[in-house]
Amino acid sequence: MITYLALRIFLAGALVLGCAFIVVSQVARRGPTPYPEVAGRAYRLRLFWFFTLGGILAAVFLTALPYVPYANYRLASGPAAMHVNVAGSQYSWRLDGTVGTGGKVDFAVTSLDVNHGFGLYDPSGHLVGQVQAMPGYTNHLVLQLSEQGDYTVRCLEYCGPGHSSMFVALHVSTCKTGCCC
Amino acid sequence: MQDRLLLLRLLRAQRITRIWLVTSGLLLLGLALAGGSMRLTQAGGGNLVSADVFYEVMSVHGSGMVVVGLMAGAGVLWYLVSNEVELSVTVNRIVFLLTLSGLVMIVLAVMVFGYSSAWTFLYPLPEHPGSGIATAAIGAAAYLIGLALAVVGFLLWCLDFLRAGLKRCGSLQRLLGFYVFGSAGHGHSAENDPTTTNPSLIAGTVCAILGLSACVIGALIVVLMLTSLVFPSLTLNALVAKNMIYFTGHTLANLQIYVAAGIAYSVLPLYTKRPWRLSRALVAGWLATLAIVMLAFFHHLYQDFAQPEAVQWVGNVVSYAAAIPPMTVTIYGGLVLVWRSGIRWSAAPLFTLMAMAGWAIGGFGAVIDSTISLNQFFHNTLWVPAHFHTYMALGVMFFLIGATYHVVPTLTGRQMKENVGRRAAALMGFGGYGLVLCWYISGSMSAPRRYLYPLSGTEVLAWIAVACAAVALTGAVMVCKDLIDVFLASPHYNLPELVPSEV
Repeated sequence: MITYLALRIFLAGALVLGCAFIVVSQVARRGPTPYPEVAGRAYRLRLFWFFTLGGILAAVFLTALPYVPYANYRLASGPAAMHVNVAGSQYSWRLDGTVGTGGKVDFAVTSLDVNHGFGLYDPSGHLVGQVQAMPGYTNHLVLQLSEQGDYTVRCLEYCGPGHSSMFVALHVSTCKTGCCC
Repeated sequence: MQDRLLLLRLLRAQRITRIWLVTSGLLLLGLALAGGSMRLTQAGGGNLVSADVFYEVMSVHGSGMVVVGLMAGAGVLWYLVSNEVELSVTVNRIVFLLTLSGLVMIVLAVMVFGYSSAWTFLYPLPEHPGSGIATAAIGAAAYLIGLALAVVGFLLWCLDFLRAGLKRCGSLQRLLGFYVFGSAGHGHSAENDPTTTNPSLIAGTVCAILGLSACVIGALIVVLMLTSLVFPSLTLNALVAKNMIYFTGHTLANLQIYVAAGIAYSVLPLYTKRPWRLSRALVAGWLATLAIVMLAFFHHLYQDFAQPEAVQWVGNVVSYAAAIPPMTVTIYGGLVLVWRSGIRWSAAPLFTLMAMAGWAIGGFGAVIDSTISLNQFFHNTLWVPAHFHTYMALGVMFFLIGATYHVVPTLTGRQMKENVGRRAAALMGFGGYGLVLCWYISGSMSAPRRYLYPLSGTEVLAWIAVACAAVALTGAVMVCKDLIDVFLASPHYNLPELVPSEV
C-alpha cells in the first residue's frame, strides 16, 4: 500500500525533525556565543540546505509524475474496457454499468445536486481511487481493479448531514466485461 | 503635549489588545472544546448526538477556528508592531467589532437556523443543505453575511497595515525590503534609518497583500452565493465557485501561519538577545511566499478532473515550493537565532520553538498530501485534518500562546505563571501529537474525514485520539485560566511598561 509507505516516510521525517528541534533546544542553553560567529557559519550552510531541500522535492516530484490519476494519462496505455456511469445525489449513488477485473474501468462521475466525492474502497477497506462528483461536469476516473469481490463506493466530499451514510456496494467479478452492479 | 498623546495612544492600544487577547483566548478554547466533542461523538459511533448537530458543531468549529485563529494573530501582530508603524487604534476597534459580529452571525446561523454546510460552503451546498431543516436557507444567508462581516474586518486590518507601513517606508518596495538587493547590501547597514523595514513588517505586509486579494474574491463569491440564494434561477458554475472559495479559504487559513511568523520575528529576538536581521534570503523568501500562497490553493482541486491539467501541475509545484521559504528562512533562521544563545526556555520562547516544530512537521505532512499521485489516496481522508492540525493547533496556536506569555506582562504588569506554561506545553505537545498521529495512521488506512463514525479498523485509534485530545485540552484550559486570572488581578492599564522595544 502506497499510503503505508507514505506514512512510514512521514513518521521517519517527523522523527528527524523532532529530534533536530530537541537537539537545538538543548544546545541553545549553552553560550551565549557571539551571534556573528554562529550566523556566519549557519548562513553558509543554508545555501547547501536550500539546494538539498530543493533537490529532494524535485526528485520526489519527478518520481511521482507517472502515477497521476488523470484519465488521459491512464488511457494512454490502452482503452478502457468497461464503462460505468456514476451519479451522486444526497445521499445515494446510482451506478450504471458492469465491472470486472479483466481490464480498465472508466467511471464517468457526475452529481445531480451538490458536490460529492466518488471514493472506491476495495474489499479490504482501502481506497483505490477517487474523483469529485460535480454538478454540471462529468469527471472520468480510470482504474484497473485487480481484486474481485465487494467494493464500496463512499462519498468523500462533505455533502450534508447524511454524508456518512452515502455509500453503496459494488460487486467486481473476475469476468472481463464485468457483471451487474 | 506630544508625550500625553503618545501615552493616550499607548493606553488605547493596550486596552484593545487586552480585549483581543481575552476574547480570542476564550473563543479558541471554546472552539477547541467543540472539536473535542466532535472526536468523542465520532469515536462513539455517532450515537451521542444526531448527524444534524454533529455537522453544525463541525461548521462552527471550522469557521470559528479560521476566523479567530487569523484575527487573534492579526491582533497580536498589530500590537507588537504598533510602536514601529502608526496603526490606527480606531480601525483596530472596528476590526474587532466586525470580527465579533461576524462570529455571532455564524453561531446564530448554526444554532438558531441549523446551518451545517461546513466552513467550505461549497456551492451549491448552502442552497441544498440536505438537512431537512425548514430555516436552512435563512441559516445559509446568515452564515454568508457573518462570513462577509469577518472578511470585511480583515480587509480593514490589511488596508490599515499597508497604510501605516507605507507611511513609514514611503513605498511598497521599501516596505517589502527590496533595498537589500541594492548596492548597500544587507539591511542592517541602514538600521538607524527610520524609513527602513524589518522582518515583522515584511511578514505583515505580505499577509496584508494576500489578505486583500483573498478578501476581494471572498466578498465576491459570498455576494454571488447570496444572490443565488435569493434568486434560485441564477445558477453559478460549480467549478468556478469552488476555485473562488478555495482561493479565499486556503489563503485566509494559510495566512494564520504567516501572520504568526511575523509575531515570532518580534518575540524570539527579545529572548535570545540577538537581532532577527533583514537579509536578502528573508526578503526573497517572503516575495516567493507572496506568489506561492496565491497559487497553492489549486491542490484542493486535484480531484476535480474537469480542472485544466496544467493548473493541477502548477498546484503541485507551488505546494512543494511553499515548503522552501519556511524551512530555509523563518524556521531555519529561528533555530540559528537560538543556537548557543544561552536562552532560558521560559514559556514564551518555548511555545514559539514548539510552534516552529509543528510548522515544520505539519508542513512535511502537507507536502506528502500535495503530491498529486498520493492525494488520490489521501484527499478528504483523516490525513488532511492530521497535517493541518499539526501546523495550526501545534503551530499557529503555540505561536499565539507564546506571544501571549510575552505580551501579557506589558499589558498588565504581571507575569503569567511560568510553571503553568511549561506544564501546559508538555500536555498540549504530548496530547496534540498523539491526536494527530492517530489521524495520520487512520488517514493512511483510508478513513474518511468529516465522518460521523470511525471506519472499520480505526475504532481504537478514534478512542485514543479522544484521550489525547482530552490531555491537550487540559493544557489549553490551564493557559486560559492563567490568562483570565492575570487580567482579573491586574489594573486596567499598565502605564510604566512600554510595548516591546524595536528589534
